[in-house]
Amino acid sequence: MSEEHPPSTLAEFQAENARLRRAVEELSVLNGISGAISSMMSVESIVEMIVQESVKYLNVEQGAVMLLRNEEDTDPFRTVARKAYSGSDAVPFRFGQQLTGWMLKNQKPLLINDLGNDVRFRNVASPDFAIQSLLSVPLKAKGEMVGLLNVFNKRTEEGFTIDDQRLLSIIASQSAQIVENVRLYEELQRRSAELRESEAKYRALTQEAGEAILLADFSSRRILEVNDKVEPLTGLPRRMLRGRTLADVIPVAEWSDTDTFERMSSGGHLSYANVKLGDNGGPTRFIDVSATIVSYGDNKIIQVICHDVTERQKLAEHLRDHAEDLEREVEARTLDLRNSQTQLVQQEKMAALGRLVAGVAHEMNTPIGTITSNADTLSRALEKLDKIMQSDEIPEAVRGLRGLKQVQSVLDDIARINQLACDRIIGIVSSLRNFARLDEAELKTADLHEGLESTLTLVHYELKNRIKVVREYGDIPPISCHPNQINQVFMNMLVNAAQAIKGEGTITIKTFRQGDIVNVQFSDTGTGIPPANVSRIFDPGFTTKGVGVGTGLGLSICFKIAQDHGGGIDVESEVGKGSTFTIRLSLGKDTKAGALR
Amino acid sequence: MSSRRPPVIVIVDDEEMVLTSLRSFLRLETEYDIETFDSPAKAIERIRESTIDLVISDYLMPGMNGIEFLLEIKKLQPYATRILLTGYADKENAIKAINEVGLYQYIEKPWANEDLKLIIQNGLERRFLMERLEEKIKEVQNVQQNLQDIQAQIIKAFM
Repeated sequence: MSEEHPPSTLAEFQAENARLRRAVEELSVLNGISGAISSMMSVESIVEMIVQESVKYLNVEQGAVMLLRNEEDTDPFRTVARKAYSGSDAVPFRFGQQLTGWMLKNQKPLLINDLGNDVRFRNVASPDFAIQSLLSVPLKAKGEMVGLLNVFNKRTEEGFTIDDQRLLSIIASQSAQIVENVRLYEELQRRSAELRESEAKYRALTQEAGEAILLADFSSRRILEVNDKVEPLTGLPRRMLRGRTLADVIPVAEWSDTDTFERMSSGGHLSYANVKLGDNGGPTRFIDVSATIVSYGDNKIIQVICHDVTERQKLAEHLRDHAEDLEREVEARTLDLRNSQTQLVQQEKMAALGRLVAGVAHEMNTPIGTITSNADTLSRALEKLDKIMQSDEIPEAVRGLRGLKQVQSVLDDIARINQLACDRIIGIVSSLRNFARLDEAELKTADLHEGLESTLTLVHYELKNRIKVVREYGDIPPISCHPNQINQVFMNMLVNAAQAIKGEGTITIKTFRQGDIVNVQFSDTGTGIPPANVSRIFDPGFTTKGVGVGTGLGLSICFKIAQDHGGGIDVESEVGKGSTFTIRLSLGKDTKAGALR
Repeated sequence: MSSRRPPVIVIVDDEEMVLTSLRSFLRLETEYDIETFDSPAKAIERIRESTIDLVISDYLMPGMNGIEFLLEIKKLQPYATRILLTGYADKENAIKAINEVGLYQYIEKPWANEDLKLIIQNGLERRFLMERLEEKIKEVQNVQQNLQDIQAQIIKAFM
């Protein structure tokens, strides 16, 4: 710095002049540095320029700027720029660690004009060591040392002066902050470029991933960013998604579960299938959710990837529906099959029973034939005996024997009753035979009244004295039918009617013709069928009777038989009054083809 | 009826009770000579020996059924009236065979005695009518033969 008063002598003037010149030079150096800095060059070029200017201005052989590394390292400094203006470029420069160590420790300018004799660095300075003098000043930014500015081997005899030190210090103080700033700026640029790059990469990845991706803050679970795919998925615009909690957007309970997040933090992975969206008013979508914790810079971020599986879900639902349809159909078919199987089994049962009945009837023919014959013969024999007893050849005494008369009378009674009993048995056997009519698998022309009578004989026991049977037989022609099946239907009707009548009652059997249809109507005065059951009585397996009570085929088979005969069965019933079943049968020959349904 | 001898009736059934019943009834009510056999083979042996007038056969029997049996009788004694006494289940078969055998009648078990008696009476009548017809034919043939002989003698006498 200059004094304020004017020079008085020549020497003073010259000194003043030199001082001013120096000041001008200093200023120009600083100005150059400032200019370079203001042109926002890179740290390297700024430092280069600083070194260059310092070497030139201080008239030294070499200069160097060393900047502190950010990282902890074995050598905390790195040489950013070094400039040599001596004849030999390759000045050994190996005592850097000693020097930097000292500078780090002391943090003040170091001026040495006779390095070989300096006690602080003697052990590293050897006779062939190229550096004799040095000036080193710290580069400080905001009071922190960020590096060193060094110059070596002053070319003048006097070596480094206090002025040199002052000048270098000024340069250093001017440069340090700027170098640091630029360095930081560069670092920032580099980092942000890297960041931008990785961000771009990531964005590209997420945008092009095809999946909806949400990034959320680890601690708050609030959404930081979403990709384009999230909007259509949630039905919410991006700006409305930001700041919401994950749980708001994706309804998964674990978002609030700390343990889950601990697991995720240590590399775990959270995944859900078929999470339903749209309960908040958005479109109904199904997503597979996969969440991981990623480190993003220093922050932990929850990365949620949503895979839209709505279509898959729809397809699955469609398939499920389809499968359900199929199942229903299979069920219906199975029911059909079971029903027809039931019917078949029933029919087979009845056929077997028919065969049994016919067999029994046949086997009974011979014994019953003989008993009947014998009863008749006995009657005739007794008659003859009586005639013989009446003849004159028999003494009156014998004829008058009381015992003889008694024996004759008992024998007469027995013969008569035996004949009645045999007639009854013959009637039943004949009815059984007629009823079963197993020899008639084909269509036969049959008189329905005959069939009714046979059947009535067989259910005689069931009706007994309890039920009166009223016959209102009309004028009906014989019909082409399977008589055994029709008889079984009659049997069923009569048994059902008898069972419907508690106590005494009447069954009225009415036959009449309507065009090509013959009707056989069974009306009972029984309990009747509740309306709810009327539609179901023809369903196979439907019964209101206990197990074992039901006799015959069941109405489902009766209905089928009537259908096969080109007709059907109609029911009218009133609870408490009774039921009327009308069996319609076709007269026609081709009864199968003439079936009504 | 013929005065020469009581009609001979052969009854075949593998059931003893049927044979006894029929025999009892017919003996009580008729003057026929009743012979019963519990097997067709035994009956055939008997029939080979002498003339019978009427045969009643069961259908289902061991060894030989009623139709086969009656066919055999037809060969042996064509004029004997043939009656089949069948159970209901045999009816169809029996009806099929009626023409084959030239059955006079079939009766279903259980039978009514009175009906049976009438059928037998009619059957015998037929049988004797047939026999008498045969006799007449023979007589006619004899007369014709005599006439032819006489004619021959006359021709011889005049030539």
